[in-house]
Amino acid sequence: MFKNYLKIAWRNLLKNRGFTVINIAGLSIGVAACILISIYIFHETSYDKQVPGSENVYRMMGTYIEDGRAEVGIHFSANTASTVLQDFAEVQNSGRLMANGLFYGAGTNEIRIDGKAMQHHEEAFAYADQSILDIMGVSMVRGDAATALTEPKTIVISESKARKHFGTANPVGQVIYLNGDDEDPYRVNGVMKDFPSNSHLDYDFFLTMEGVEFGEGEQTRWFQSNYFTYLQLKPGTDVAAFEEKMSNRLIHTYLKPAYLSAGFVQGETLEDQLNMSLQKLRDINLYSAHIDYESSSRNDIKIIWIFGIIALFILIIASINFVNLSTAKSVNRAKEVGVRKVVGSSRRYLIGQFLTESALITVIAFGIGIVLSWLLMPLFREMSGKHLILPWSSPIFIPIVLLAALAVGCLAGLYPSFYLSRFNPAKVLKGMMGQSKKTSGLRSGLVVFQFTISIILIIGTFIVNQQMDFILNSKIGFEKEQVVQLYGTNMLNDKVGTFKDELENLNGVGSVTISDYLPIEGAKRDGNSFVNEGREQIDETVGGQAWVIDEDYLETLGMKLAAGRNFSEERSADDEAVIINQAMAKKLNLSEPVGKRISRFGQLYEVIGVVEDFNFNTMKQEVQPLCFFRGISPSIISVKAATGDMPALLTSMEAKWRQFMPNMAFRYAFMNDSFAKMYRNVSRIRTIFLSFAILAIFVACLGLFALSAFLVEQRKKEISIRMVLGASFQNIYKLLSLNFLKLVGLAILIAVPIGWYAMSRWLEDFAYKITIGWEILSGAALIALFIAIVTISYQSIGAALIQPLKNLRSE
Amino acid sequence: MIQIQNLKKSFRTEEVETLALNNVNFSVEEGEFAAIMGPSGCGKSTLLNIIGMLDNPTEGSYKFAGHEVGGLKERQRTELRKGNLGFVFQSFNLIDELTVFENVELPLIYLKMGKSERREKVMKVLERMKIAHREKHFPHQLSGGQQQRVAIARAVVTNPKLILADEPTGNLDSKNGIEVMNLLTELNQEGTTIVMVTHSDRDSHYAHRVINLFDGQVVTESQNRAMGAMI
Repeated sequence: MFKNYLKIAWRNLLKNRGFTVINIAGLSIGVAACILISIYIFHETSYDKQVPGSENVYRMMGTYIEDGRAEVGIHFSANTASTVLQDFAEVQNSGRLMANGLFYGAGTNEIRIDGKAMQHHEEAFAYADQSILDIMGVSMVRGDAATALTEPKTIVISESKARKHFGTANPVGQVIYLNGDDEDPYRVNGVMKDFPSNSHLDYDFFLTMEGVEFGEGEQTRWFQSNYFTYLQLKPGTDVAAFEEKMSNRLIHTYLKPAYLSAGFVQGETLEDQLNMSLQKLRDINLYSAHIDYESSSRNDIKIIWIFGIIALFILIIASINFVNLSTAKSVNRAKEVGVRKVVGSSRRYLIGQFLTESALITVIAFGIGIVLSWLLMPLFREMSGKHLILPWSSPIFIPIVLLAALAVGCLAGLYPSFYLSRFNPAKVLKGMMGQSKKTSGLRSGLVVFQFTISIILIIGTFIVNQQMDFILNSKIGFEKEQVVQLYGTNMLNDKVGTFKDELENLNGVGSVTISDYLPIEGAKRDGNSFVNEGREQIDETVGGQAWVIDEDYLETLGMKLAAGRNFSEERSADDEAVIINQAMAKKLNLSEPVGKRISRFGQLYEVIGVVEDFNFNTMKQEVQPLCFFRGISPSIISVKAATGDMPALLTSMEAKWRQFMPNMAFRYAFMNDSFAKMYRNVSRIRTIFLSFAILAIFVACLGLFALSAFLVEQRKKEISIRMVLGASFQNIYKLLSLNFLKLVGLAILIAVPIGWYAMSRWLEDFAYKITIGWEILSGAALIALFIAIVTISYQSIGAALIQPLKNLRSE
Repeated sequence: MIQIQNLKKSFRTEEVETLALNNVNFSVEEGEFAAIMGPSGCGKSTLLNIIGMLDNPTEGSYKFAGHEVGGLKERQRTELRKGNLGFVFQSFNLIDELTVFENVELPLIYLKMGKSERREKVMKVLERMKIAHREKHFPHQLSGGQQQRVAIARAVVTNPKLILADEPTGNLDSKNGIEVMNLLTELNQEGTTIVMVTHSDRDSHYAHRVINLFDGQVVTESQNRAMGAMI
C-alpha cells in the first residue's frame, strides 16, 4: 500500500511540475534558513557549557542605582575574590581576571621571544589567577594545568599562538619579553588549548596575578574595581540566599567602612544603592546586554528570539504555500479521490496517501535544504562572524532533520489531506466539484498571515537599517574620517615625542596626537571618582572616565570645545588642569565650569575647558561623564590626514617607522573601521535580518505567484465568457487582482501596528535612536503592495490576454 | 439482490429543497440485467449512486443482499462496497497517473490481496478484456473504447456480485459501444447482476428489464422479450 502511495505521489509531483518546484523551492529555502539559524542559535546558547561543572560557576555583578537608573557593572576590587572565598562556606573557589589595557600587560602587547630580534603585536592578554584555570577547566597541551600560573612572572599561551611563535618546539620554559622591556622577562609555564568559539573567554595569553600589584595598595583597596570575579559555588547551594548574604556582608563589613574612611559620601547610603548578585557562567553570552562596559562581542537573548521567530516564520510561510496550493488544485485531484473511494478506498487510506505525498515533498525539500545550507554556510559564517559548522558528525543531526521533515510534512499535509479525502465520490465523478467557500476563506486567511509576517519583516528591516545608519553617520562628537591609528608606539619609549614631531612634518599630515584613550572599543578606559572642590565630604562622588591626552588630541579627533580652552604646551600649570565633557559638567552641577576646581583622589584640578559630548561607548549607552588630563599615554598615535592620497601617506609613515623601529611591524588601522567594529554586532544583525527578511518575502511571493496561477487556470472559462460578453483588459485584470490586493491591504492593516510596536521595543535598548515615522511604515506597506502587484500581475495580465474561443472550444 | 422501498432523496441548498427521488420502489434479482432510463434530471444517477452506496437515501429502505444499507455510515458503506460492487462510468474515470495494470489492480490493493495473486487476477481480466498488451500504458495513451474496457476490467477484477454502469457507452462510438455492451452481457450471463443507467434505447435492449424514471418516480417497468437481441 505504502509503495502504491509513494508511486502515485512521485507521479503526481512529476505531473504538476510547477506546483512541485514552487513547493519544494519554498520549503527548501525555508529549511535552509531554519537549519542555518538553528545552528546559529544552538551555537549561541551553548556558550560555556563545555566548562566542567559550569552550572555552579558564576560571575559577580553589582547593580548601582544612581538617579533612578540602574547601572550594572562586573568589575570588582582585587580583594573581592579572596574575601568571598574566605568568608563564605558556599564558595568552593574564586578567581580574578583582568584584561583592562589601562594596566601594563593587559589587553595588547608587543612581544619578543628571547633570542629573537623581531617584535610581534599580540592581542587578547589578560591577567588571571591560577584559580581561573581551575574554575574554567582550561586544558593544557603542555605544562601542568594545576600550577601553570602559581609562580610570579609566568605566562600561559594558547596552542595557536604557541604554534605561531615557537613552531613545533616546546614553549614551556621559554622566555617572552613584553613591550621591549628586557628587564622584565615572562616564563612560559603552559600551553593551553584555544578557547572554543562558544566560550565567552577569548584570550590567548594569561599573565599570572601572582605577585602583581598595580600601584601601592591596589590589591587591598575596596573601591578600585578592575577585576572580573568568578565564583565556583558548592553544588546544591541556594544561590538566591547566598547572593543576599554575600551582598549584605560585602557592603556592610567591607565596602561601606572603606568608602566612609576614604571620605566618599555615598558610603552612607551604599546599602540602598548597591546590590551584588551572581550571573550564571552560561548566561554571560546572552544575558549581558544591560551591563555597562561589557564586551560588544556578547550577543543578546532578544536577538536569539528574533532570529528563532524569523526562522519559524519562513518555514510557516513555506508550509502555507503547500496548504494553499494543495487546496487550490484540489479540483484536479477530485476525480482521483472519487475513483479511489468508488473502488474501495476508505478515507483513512486517502489521508495516508495525501500525507505520504506531503511527507515526500518535505523530505525532498529538507534534503535540498540541507545541501543549500551546506553551500550557504561559508557565507553565513561570514555574515554572523561565528565559527559555525553543520554538525554532520553528530549522530542525531540527520535523524532530527528527517523527523522535522516528517513533522512539517504531516502538519502541512494535514488540512489538505482531510479536505481532499472528504470529497463525495458521487459528486466529484459527475464533475460537480467546485471550490468551497470554506477553503477559499482559509486560503485568504493564510495569504493575509503570510503577508502580515512579510510586512513586519520589511518594517523591521527598514528600522534596523535606519538605526544603523543613524549610529554610523549621525553626529558623534568627533571626526573619525581620515584618522589613522598607529599601534605599539609605546615601544619607542622616550622617542615617542620625536616620532610624533617627525610625523607632523610629513606631507599630508594634518595633526598628530599621542593617546591610548580613544572613543572606540578596545581602547584604554579608566573609571575614577570626581567631586567639586569643597564638597568632598558632602556630595556623592561622580563616576567618570579619566583620560590622558596631549595638546593635539582635540584637534586631531575634531572635538569641539563648548567653553574654555585646550591644554597648552607653554603652560606647565596645565598638568594640574582638566578638560571635562558636558556630561561631567552636568553631573557635577556646574553651570559655568571653567575656572572651577574638581577633586580626584583628594587632588584638585582646575577645569580649563569643556568639550562637547562625544560618544565613546556604543550608542546603546548615554554619554558618560569624562575628564581629560594632560599627559602621555604612548601606545597609540593617531594621525589626522590632510591629503586624499592615503596610500602615499601610509608609505611615508611606514618609512619613518622603519627608521625608528626596524624590528617591529608597522601596524595601523583607520579610525572609521575601528568605529564600525564597535557596531559589528548590530551590523551583522542587520545583514542577517535583511537576508532572512528577503527570503521570507521571496517565499511568500512564490506562493502568491503559484496561487494566482492556479486560480487563473481555474477561472479561464469564466474569463473567456466575460471577454466574449465584452469585458475589457482592465475589467479582467481588476477581476483577478483586486481580491489579492484586498488581502494584502488587510495584511498591511494588521502588520503596521505590530511592526511599529515590536520595533519600538527593539529601539528601547538604544540611548540614541531614530523615531519611527509614518514614512517608514507606509514605505514598508507600499513595498509589500508593489511586490504583490508585480507577482499577481504576471498571471492576471496573461489571463486578460488569452483568446476566449480557445478556452470555450475546449469546453 | 436489491430491494428498494419508498425511497426518497432530497437535496437541500440554502434556499430550496429539491426532491430527486420520490417514493421509488423496485427490486433487482440476482443475475438480472436491469436498465434504468429516463430524461435528464429524472434522478437516474442519484438512484444509481444510492444503489452503489456512494450516497444515502433521505428516507425509505434499501436492502442489499438482504441487509439494510440505507442508513450506513461512510466507512461501513466503503467496507460493503469493497469486492461486492463494480462501477463503470460514462467518462471511464480511470486515474491518469496510474498505468492500465495499476488502475485495475487498485481495488485488489484495498482488499489487501497479496502481490502475486493481484498480478494473476489483473492479467487474467486484462486478457479477457483484450487489453493485456497495454498493461503498461497510461489512460491518455488509449482510445475511448480501450479506456472503457480497462474500466470494466477494474469493475470486475474483484468478481463483484453487482456491476453498476452509468451510461457506459455514452462517450463511445457505436462500434466500441457495442463491444462494451457485449462484454457486460457476457458478464451477466456468467452470473453477475448488472444495473445500468442509459439514455440509449439500443443499449436498453441488452437488459432483461427496463425501469423508466420520470421526475424522481418509477413510471413504468417493462420486460425485454429477447435478451441480448442485438448481439
